[in-house]
Amino acid sequence: MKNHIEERRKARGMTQQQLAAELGVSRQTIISLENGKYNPSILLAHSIARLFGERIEDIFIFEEEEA
Amino acid sequence: MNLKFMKGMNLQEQKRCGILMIVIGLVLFAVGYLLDEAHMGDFYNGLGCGIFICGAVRLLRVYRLSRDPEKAADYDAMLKDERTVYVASKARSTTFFICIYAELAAGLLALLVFDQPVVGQALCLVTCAQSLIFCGTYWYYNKKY
Repeated sequence: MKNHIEERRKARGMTQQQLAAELGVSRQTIISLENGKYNPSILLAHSIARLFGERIEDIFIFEEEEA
Repeated sequence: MNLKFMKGMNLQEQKRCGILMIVIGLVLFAVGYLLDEAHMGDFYNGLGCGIFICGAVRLLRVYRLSRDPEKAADYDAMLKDERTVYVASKARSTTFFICIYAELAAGLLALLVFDQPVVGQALCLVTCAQSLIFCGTYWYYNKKY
């Protein structure tokens, strides 16, 4: 699933390590999320959206063929 | 089911586990040393050495991590990380299915090609038992979730 995590993170001047620490996950998870290789759980997606002050659907791009 | 164990142990638990493994390794080594060859003394020696080394490596890792709080925090985060749990679960599932088919193939080969009925039957029985356990756990989780 594509997402806007990298641009939101960079807009806030955060490193991957800082974002990982804020979310309580590893840096590798942030790398995989930004590359679209790993789809987060609904809890992590919710935490990410809340951290950036946005809605989940504004951060994650849902495509029909993924369903 | 102990999910905490599946997700991984924290440093204190790892330390305790390492010490326990060293003690078990030493005890097994001593038992092997006291037993002669007819009573599988070499087997217990080898097993004891292996467990001792695993425990020592675990303690060494705990020692290295406890000297670097940042690395220790990273390590703790990694253990709780949902991606790590997902990857480990995926790896376990793949390993299980590979083992099932490999055991079945080995069992059939032992029965049909190498004329080893005991080995073949044992392997086929283990495969059946694993398949039954899979069905049981599938039924349980299907009910639970």
